[in-house]
Amino acid sequence: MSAGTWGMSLGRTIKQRQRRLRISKSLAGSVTVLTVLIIWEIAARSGILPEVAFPAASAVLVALGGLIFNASFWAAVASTLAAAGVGLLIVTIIAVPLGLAIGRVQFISKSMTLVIEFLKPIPPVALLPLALLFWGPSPTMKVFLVVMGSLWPLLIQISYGPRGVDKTQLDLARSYRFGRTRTIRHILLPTLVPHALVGLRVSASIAIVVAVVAELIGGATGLGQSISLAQNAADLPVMYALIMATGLIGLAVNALFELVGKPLLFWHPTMRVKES
Amino acid sequence: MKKLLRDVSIMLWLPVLILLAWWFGSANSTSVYAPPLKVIMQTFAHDWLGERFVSDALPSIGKFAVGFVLAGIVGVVLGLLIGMSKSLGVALDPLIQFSRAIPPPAILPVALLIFGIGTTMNISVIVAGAVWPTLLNTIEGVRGLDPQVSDMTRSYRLSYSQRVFRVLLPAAAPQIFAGLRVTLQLSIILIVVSEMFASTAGIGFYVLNSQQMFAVPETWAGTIVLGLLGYIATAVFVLVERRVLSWHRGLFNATEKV
Repeated sequence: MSAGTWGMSLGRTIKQRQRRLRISKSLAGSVTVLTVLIIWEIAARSGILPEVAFPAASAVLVALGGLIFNASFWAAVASTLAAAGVGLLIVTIIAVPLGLAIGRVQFISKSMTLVIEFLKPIPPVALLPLALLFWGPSPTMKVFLVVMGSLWPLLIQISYGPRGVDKTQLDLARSYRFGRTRTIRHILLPTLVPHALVGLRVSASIAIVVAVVAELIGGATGLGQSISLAQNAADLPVMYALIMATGLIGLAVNALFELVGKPLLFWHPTMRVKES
Repeated sequence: MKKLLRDVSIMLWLPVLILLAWWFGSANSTSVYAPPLKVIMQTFAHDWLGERFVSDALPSIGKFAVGFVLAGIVGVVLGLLIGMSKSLGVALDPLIQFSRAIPPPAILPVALLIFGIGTTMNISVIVAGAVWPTLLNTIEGVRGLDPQVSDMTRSYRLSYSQRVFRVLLPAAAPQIFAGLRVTLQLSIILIVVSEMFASTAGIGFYVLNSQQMFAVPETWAGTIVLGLLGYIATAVFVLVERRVLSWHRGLFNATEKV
């Protein structure tokens, strides 16, 4: 066997083994999920779990299935995601220039330190009553809270970006007489994008949480409000199904970021470690 | 000395400017929603520097502290167990990923059904909602142990407890603390939200109640209390983290910044 074909068959074997590993992993995972569902079902039916708090697993799954064909559920999802999305857009518009300025200019970074250090740990829900005072249970109120809650991760990650730029690379770019655009394209962006994606991902998950809270407590339309409506109507299966649905949406958003990140970051060391 | 003075003034000018602008900008405010800062501060001093601090703030802080400590302990212990066992990790992964993706406040209605209104409900919501970052980071920290170190512990025949307390925990500590910090932030959010959602006392209840009664200065004052609570809790945490991880910080600075 020549070295070339040997290498290729080795590559194939590794790929096959990886695939087999993945399959066995997802198999083990589904077995756990199934087991939990079955235990839940038995415990709820036999009355081990208090009936007032726990509907049977099958009832919840049926309700979850029913949600798929329920237009008002999808309207609620759209409303929650829209608030989170618009909030994230505003966050990006604020965080990118401000973060870059903080990362590059010492004076700005020092001036902002105390303001950021004080504002950052304030829980976004603390602002909920004030936001309700100003805007009532409206989409504006939701978006405001989303912005206040999810600004910090992205802002801080982006401000790390310019500090992480390799000085040697910058010198190299200068000695090769790279213009401004090429320096940005080949040196600044590759250092910035990983930071920005990490920040954006954290910001996105916070944005959804904040939007749901604003609906649950503030009473704006969306998934959170649907949960509290189902709770008030004592419709437990639907309430549980809605809670599960918010979890699934969170997972979907996370998966979306991974999907976007992969082609953008395939060259990054963290991605290479993941492959092996 | 001169340099210090300059540094301090660079750090302070913006916050001072913002506060002054707020103070004087709102001084003659007749807006119902934005009362003068002076009125807000008077309400703050009157409401929160007296008996309300004992009757509303202390119970909230206590519940928050208990919830956070419990969430931290549960997260670290379970994380150690799951991180050390490969099969446990594979089996539980989808369950953990799913539970962590649920926005923590969404479990409020469930907790209310199980425990009713009361301290147990507040604390259980914190534990169930805020445990995930610590759990996940502990798992990752334990798994990320250098295989050479792991081999070393075996060839030195370290006992189980030695391995856990002398090797695994210190090695995972930086990541555990990163997780604990997120858990802390979630705990604050959850104590506030759970008091807003269903409670008859506490800071969260006070703020939302003031808003519903249209007591505007009280709403502002309560918001300031919540902000201070978040700020102080984070500051204390950072102090503890620096203390515990001082060895790591030194190591990190020595090796990573070459």
